[in-house]
Order: sequence, then C-alpha cells, then structure tokens
Amino acid sequence: MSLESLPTHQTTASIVKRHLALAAVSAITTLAWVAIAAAVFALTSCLVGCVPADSLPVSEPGDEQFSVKMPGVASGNSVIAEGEMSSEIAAPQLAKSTKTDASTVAVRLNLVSQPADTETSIENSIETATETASDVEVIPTPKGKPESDAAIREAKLARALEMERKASEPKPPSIKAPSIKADLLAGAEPETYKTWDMPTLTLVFTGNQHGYIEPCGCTGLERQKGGVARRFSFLETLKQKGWTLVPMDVGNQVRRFGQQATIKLQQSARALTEMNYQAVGFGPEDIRLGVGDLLAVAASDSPEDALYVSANVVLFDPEMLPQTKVVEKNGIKVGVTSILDPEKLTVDPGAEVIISDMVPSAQAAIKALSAKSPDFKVLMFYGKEESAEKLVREVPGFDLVVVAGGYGEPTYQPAAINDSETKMILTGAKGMYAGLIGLYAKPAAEPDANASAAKPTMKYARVALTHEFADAPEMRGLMKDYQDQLESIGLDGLGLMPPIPHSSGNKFVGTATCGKCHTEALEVWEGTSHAYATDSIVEPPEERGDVPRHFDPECISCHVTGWNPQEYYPYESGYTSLEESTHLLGNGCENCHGPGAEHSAAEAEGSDASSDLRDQLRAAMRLPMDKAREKCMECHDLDNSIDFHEPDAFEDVYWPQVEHYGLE
Amino acid sequence: MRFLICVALAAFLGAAGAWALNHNRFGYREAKFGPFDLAGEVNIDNVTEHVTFKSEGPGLYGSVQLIGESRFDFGVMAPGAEGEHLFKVKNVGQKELNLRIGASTCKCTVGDLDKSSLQPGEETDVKLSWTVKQGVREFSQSAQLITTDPKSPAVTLEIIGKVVGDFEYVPDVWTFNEVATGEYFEIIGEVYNYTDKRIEPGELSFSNDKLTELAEFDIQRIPESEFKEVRETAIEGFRVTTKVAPGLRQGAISQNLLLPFTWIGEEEGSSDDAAESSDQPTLAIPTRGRVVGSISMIESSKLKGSPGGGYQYDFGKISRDDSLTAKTFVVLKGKERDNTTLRVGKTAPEGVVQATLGEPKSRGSMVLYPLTLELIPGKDPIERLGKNKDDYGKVWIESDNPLVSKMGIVLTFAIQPR
Repeated sequence: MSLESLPTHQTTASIVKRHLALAAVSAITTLAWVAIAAAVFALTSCLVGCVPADSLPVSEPGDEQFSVKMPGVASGNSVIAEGEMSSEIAAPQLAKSTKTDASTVAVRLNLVSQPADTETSIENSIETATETASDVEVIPTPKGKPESDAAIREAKLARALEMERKASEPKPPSIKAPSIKADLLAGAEPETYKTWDMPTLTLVFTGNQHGYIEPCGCTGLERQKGGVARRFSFLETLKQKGWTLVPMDVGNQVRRFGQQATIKLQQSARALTEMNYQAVGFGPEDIRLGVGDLLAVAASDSPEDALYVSANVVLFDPEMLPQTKVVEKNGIKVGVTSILDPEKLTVDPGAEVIISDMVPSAQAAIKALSAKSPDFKVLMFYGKEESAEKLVREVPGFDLVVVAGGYGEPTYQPAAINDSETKMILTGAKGMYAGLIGLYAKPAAEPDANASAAKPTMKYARVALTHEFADAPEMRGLMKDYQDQLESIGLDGLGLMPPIPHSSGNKFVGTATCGKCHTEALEVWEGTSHAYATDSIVEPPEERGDVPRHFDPECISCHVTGWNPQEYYPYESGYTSLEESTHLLGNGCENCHGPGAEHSAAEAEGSDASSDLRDQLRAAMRLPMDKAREKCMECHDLDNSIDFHEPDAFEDVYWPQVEHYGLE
Repeated sequence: MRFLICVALAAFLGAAGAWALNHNRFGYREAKFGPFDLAGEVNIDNVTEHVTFKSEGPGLYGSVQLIGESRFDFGVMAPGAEGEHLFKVKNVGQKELNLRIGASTCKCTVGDLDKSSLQPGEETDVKLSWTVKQGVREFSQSAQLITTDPKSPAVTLEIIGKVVGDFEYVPDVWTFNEVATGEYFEIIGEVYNYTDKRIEPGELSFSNDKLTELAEFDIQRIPESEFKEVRETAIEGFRVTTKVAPGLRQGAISQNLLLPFTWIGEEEGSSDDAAESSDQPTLAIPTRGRVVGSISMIESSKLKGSPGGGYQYDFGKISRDDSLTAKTFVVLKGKERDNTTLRVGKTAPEGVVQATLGEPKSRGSMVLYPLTLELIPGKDPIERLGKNKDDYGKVWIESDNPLVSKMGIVLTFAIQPR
C-alpha cells in the first residue's frame, strides 16, 4: 500500500509517529553521546592524573610503584599518602588530585621541629577532616595545563628517572631502621628491578625447586614459570647490564626419592655451579636421598670452593662442607649460612647425616660470621615462616632471612619481623621466582661512627621467571645431558624393572585391540591428542624440540599406555620402549579403563569364556562418569593441565572431546 | 538533514554536559594562594617526603579488622575435594572502607566478596574456595584482600591443611636408602585409615616375588592415643615392619609393598562377593632403595656405577687448563667394614694413572675413604676413551679382608702433553 493512497488522517498519524521515532532516536543518540563524551573526558582526566576518589589503590602503569589512597575525606576528594619508595610519583598526584574546594576538604600540614637524633626527614603529620574553610590551610593546586601524549610520556619518564636518581642516593640504612612506610607498603604490588640504579652487589635468591628443573610445557610454556634455563637467562641479562651477582639457593632441589631424583640432584647442582651459585642449603627431600648422593654434590675441600653451606646439616663429617661462608665482591662482604628445620624432615636421615638443633647452630654460625665482619649477613632457612621468625628473634644478628618451604609465594616487599631487626623474604615453590636483593654501599665519603649505619642499603624485588626469559642454550645442553643420562641408565638402572603388576592382575593389549570392537570409540580417540601423546615427547613441539623426553619416566608415565601416572613406573606388560611397545603408543584406552587382555580374549572369536565371566570382565572395564574426572586428573593435574581444573571444564570442554559409551 | 542536526546537537550537548560534569569534579583551577610552597622548604615536589600518617588519629579513614584468624586450617581433605571458607572482615574505622580481592597464589583459590564497600561498623564475608590438588601432602593457598585502609593495604588470607586420600602412608614413600649386599635391613612405615570403615589387613607381600621371598612382615595396630592428636580424623593406624634378608642383586629397587585388606562389617561369603574375591582392595605403598656391594663409590655426574659392580670415571678430553685430579669417595659397608682396611692396588697405564686413598672415617653403617685420582701427562698425547675393553685407564681398590672382594674403577680420558 502506497502512502498516497492512504486517507489524510492516516498520513498525519504516520508523520507524528515518524517524528516521535526521530525524537526517540535523538534522545538515545543524546544519551549515547553523553556517555561517549563522558568516557572520553574521564579517560582524558585520568591521563592527566585526576582519579576518582573512591577508587582503590592501584599501581601506576609502567612504573610498578603504587600508592595508597586514604579515603577518609568527603566523597569526591582524596589524599594520597605515599611511602618513600614512590614519593616522587606521589607528589604530582597529590597536587593534581587535591581540590581547592575548601568546603569539602581540609588538609593541614603541620611542620614540627626535627629531633636531633632522628635520621629521617622532618616528621610531619597530615590530618584530614571535614572542617570549614575558616580554620584550615588548603594545599593550593597549580593550574593544570594541557599535555600531549608525548608530553605526558616525557613527564612520566622524567619522574621515573628522578625517582630512580633519588632512590640511588645514599639514605639512612633501611635494613637497620625500616621505616613505617616500607612496612605499610608491604604486600601491595611488586617492585620492579628494571628501574633500579645498578646495585653495588646483587644477591639472587631461589629455593625449593622441588624437582621442577624445567617447566614441562604440557599446559603451555607461557603459562608455566620457573626452570633453570630461564633462570640462567635472567642472570645473564643482569650480568650484561654490568651487575655483580651472588646467587644463592635455600635448597630442596628434588621432590622424589630414587635414581631419577639422584640424577636430577646432580644435574641441578651442575646447573647451580654453572650459574655461579655461591651458597646452597638443604631441603628435606634432598636429605632423603641419603648421605652418598649428598656428598657427591656437596663435599668440598675448602669453604671457598663449597657449593653447599649449612649451619646444622653435617654430612658424615663436619669437614665435608662449611657451616658458614663469606663472599666478598665489589667491596661488600656477604656472610651466609643455612638452616634446615628438623621438623620438616619426612624420614629419619640415618646416622650418617646429622641435623643439629637450630638455635645453637644458628648461634654458632652468627658468631663465626661476625668474626669475619661481613657487611651483610644472610640466613637461608628451609621451614615454615613462623619457625624462621622465631629463630631470628632468638638468634639476632642476621640482616636477612630467606625462607623456603613455607606457605605462600614471595611477598612483594621484605617483611618485618616483630621484635627483630631481621627482614624476611620468601622464595616460593618450584623455583618459579628469583628474589633480588640489591645492596648499595655507603659512599666512602660518609664515614659514620655508627657501625650499623655503614651497612649497605637494600632494595628488594621478586622476579617471576616467566617465558619472558628465553631458555639459555647452556641449560638446554644440560637438560639434554639429563635426558641422555636417563636414556643410558635405562629403566633397569632407574630401578623400574622388573615392572610392577597392575592392581587388577591383568595385562595390557593396546588400543588397536580395543578398537576392533569399540570402533566408534577408537575413532573418537584417534581424533584427540591422546593418540599422539607419545609423539609429543619423542618430537616435542616448538622450542622444546631439541630434547626428546621418551626416556624420562616423569614424562613417559602420561604419554604412553600401561604406566602408573602418579608414581612414574611401568606396569607389567606396559610400555617399555618405542621399539618393543608399538602397540602401547599414545595415552590409550587401558590407561583409564584398566588393562584389557582378559576382556579382549574373552570376547574374541572362538573364546570358550562363559557368559558370566564375559559379563564380569566387561563390568570390570567400565569407568562410570562419576569416577572419570578423578581418573583424568591423574594426568590432567594442576601442574600439567591447569585448564582442566576450571569450574565445569571437565563437563563442558574435556569430556565432550572424548565422549564415548559402551560398545560404540 | 534534520536528523543529522539532531544528532549533532545531541553530540554537542552530550559532550558539553560531560565536560561540565567532569570539570566540576576533576578539573583544575587556579589555587587561591598560588602554588603550594611552605617556607621554601616544602613544595609539591617534596611534600610526600615530609608526610607520615597520623595513624592513630580518630575517624580519618576506614579501618579493616579481620574477625578471627587470617589462616584457616581445614585439617585433612581428600585429593580432588573442594572446600570453602568464609573469612569475616569489619570496618572498624569511621569512614567508608573499600575492598577488593587481589592476587591469589593459584587459580584454585577464588576470592568472593559480598560487599566491596563497607560503611563504618559494617561487616562482610570473604569467601575463599579451593580444590585440593592431587599428589601433594600439604595444601597451602592464599589470597590477598586489598583495602583502602592505609594501615593494612593488603590482608593475606591463607588456607592450609593436609591432603590425604582414604589412606595415608607415613612416610609417603618407604625407603631403605643404601644397604650392602649380605646385610639384613628393615623397612618401617605407618598406614592410616581416613574412611568411615575399619579394615582387616590381609597377607602382606611385595610387587616383586624375589623381594617377597626374602621378606618377613609384621603389622601392628597403632593405639589411638598415639596418633589422634596429630591425625584427628583418622579412624585407625597400622605400623608395618618388614625385615629383608640378604639376597637382592645390586642396583636400585623400586617396588610396591602390597597391603590387601577387607572392610570390617561387610558381609562375607555371599555369592556376589565370592565372585569378586580376586578383586580384594589392596594398598600399594611405594618402596624404594638401593643395594650396593661391600665396597662401593659415591656416584656423581662423572662417576657412574656399572652393572658388574665396578665404576667408571669420565675425565673427558682434558685441555691444558683443566684439572688432572678428581676427588671421589670409596664406601665400605656391611658387617665386615670394621675389620677391613682398603688400599690402592694396581693402576694402569702405570705412571699415567695414580690413585691415593685418604684417611678413613667411620660413622653409622659406613666407612668413608677419600680417593684422589690423578692423571700424569707425558711427552705424547695419551688417550683412553673406552673404544674397546682395553681402552681404559684402570685403578684397583683392594682389601686386606678375604670376605671383602676388590673393586675396579675404569677411567676414560684424553690428555695433552704438558
């Protein structure tokens, strides 16, 4: 129907409708523009430093410093209270974010005279209150001026450089007298070492590698931290910047017991030596390997040559390794010892390994160290944080205690310990982090009668060893040697032969046999990564392609058929080698359903098995859905398949990929 | 056209409104008394150096208080089990307190906040949920609660506990470390039951027949008073002692100790159960150790044992700057260790390979001799790279005790004249 053919009143109504529609569109557009314009303006405001007062403390992008906002003022206003570490950044923010509207905010800065014995800057107090303009002084705000992006970047850079310069200036020893500000800031955001001035000496701390000599890559290398190859690269980048390093490790290189763990300990010690580690402690899993394996890596002729150092672990004879060690570089003497908390031991270490009480051992160590007058004293402690805190309270004198084996990840800042002047940092687990302690020597021009004030000042940063650091070729070579060693020693040499019978007493036949009847299930399986699981360790993908891992039980166990995936050993009739076990390649049906030799034989043509027996054997092969997830998690654990542990991931993602039922 | 005009007008009004709104709230204005400067000493560039909190001041900001402990110990959970715990926080300050969940140590710990903003006196729950990992003994995860309380910008909440399945083995792997051939040894461990049903242990064995043949088992129930304090939720415990007689071949041993059992209270002898008698539930306890000869060496990345009981030390190709000496240890074990003295026997090639045994030291079940191997370069290059059975340097370690046989060490090396 055309418009012209309509009666006039209908056309008028239509026009009214059109106008109403247009008005509605205009209104919507208006709102949209308001929103867009507001967003644009808010963004612009943010870029020049105006942040809504009710937002939470966040780090400044790029500089990785942070500020603490104090929202104890009227809505719409804020005061940024800032620790000394980021004061240079805070100042402009303070100025820009403080309004001149005196009716809603009052800020008073009271100067008081500086006490003669105070090393810190003038003590002030800043008070905020919702008072009237008549009884307050207002911090005036300079007029803002438009800045281009480039100008903003330049300003930020200038501030960062200024901050770096100021940070590098000699300051009262933060080690000796930690300010309330540093404590206040602990735990908010990590500090980056990239903006540091070059320290006089940098201590690098790692610990509790716990067998994770490299990230396996199963769940994506970009999602796994740690590994000696990355650690090596990280240290190299620091060396290339001209930094002088003293790497140290709190201990616990291995997780398991047995021949493979022994080899891993040896290769880990080799890696630590190649990275020029100066001191290494012991963890409980190291001790479990026994005195022989430990002496092989720890025995030394002199403290200078020693890799391992311990105040309370004696391997066979006290002469085998030093109790303390002093390393002197760039004019700074660092004294170090290590303590293993006997409570962390899981097995009796035997008569050949003596683990002494912590307090007398630490006392003897601090006495021996003090005699050598180090500038900085470090205790590496394997145990719980609470135990470390208790120990340094009882045995004062250490500047820093580095703790591994406790709970939690490394903190962002060194933690203060009540009733102790010792600071504490954590290494975290699995060697995923390196902790940097930058020591800055006091200039010689500042002689100080107070010995403690002559101590170097300290900075701390934790560094996640992510894929940002490429694998170092030197450590790739070491990993190849490790795999070659596993190959040459073989499953027999590793103590894995003869294999252990499966708990069902049954034997493995291989996926092809299963697929003769379960044709659809076989098709599904062939379309999954399970079918190529062995290929992926014989020819690992991408950057791991240079080192095959099909002689490594810790890899084999989930990449072939017929192994125990959690204890890393083969079952009788399970996979033994590529050549002898061609029918057991891939992660096959029997890994979940159990070995199927009897079941397949009973179902074969000409079998004289009774129908009752056949039914029993079929029932034994069934894996009900309520047990399936748990079974999958034997390989899809948190280390190797973190996505599997997302809520509903099994039901929504993983199961649909392998979905199969019964005889299909 | 009118439409476009409307749109442009809307855009203009929108932008103007937004600008006005934001300018009113965040814009800059000329300071009433000029740029901040106090006696020329404190200005906007250094003001924060002079600022400290008057933290005891009343009512200046929201203040967070954790009601209860920051660490929650769930005791014991089974692998794969899920748990959750509510922490309670309160704003004890006199201003609004803002909260958010910060970093957690792992994706399996998820923080959930009921309210992200608390008025003075108000409380909220912080929920942490977790899934217990497989294959770990101790669970520990944490999450941070970031607050606007300047005294506590981050509150760390921790979840800890022990992870055990239905049964716990103590230790998790039963080890006997290194034992000498010809020596008896013991393996002792404990098993705890965390199910709701008691068990009756069956006949113990190893997963290896030879080991079972040599073993003598004893299993005793542990009185509750001995374990309840530490293992509150365990309903029973057993101490298993296994004595193994000599007879194992040298080398690493990795087997399982098998503990079959029946559930107490379950009907036995029914026709259904009879058919399943071969499927008796069995605990497989990992057992590891190593059997070595009376004389052995401490292996390292360069020193390897060989199946026949000897050892091979690989010097490799030695450059002019490399050391020509290697320090190793010879170990005496077994009941004859205190009646035996070791000495260096023949070396080959004579004049090229030298070996020196240091003073022995005895502790526990072993006597330790330091052994220094040294290569003496000649006028010509010397190579022993193991290309055939005669292509090795050799050192014999002999004993004065006929019951302790001698041990051979082969060396591979290539040295240049010096």
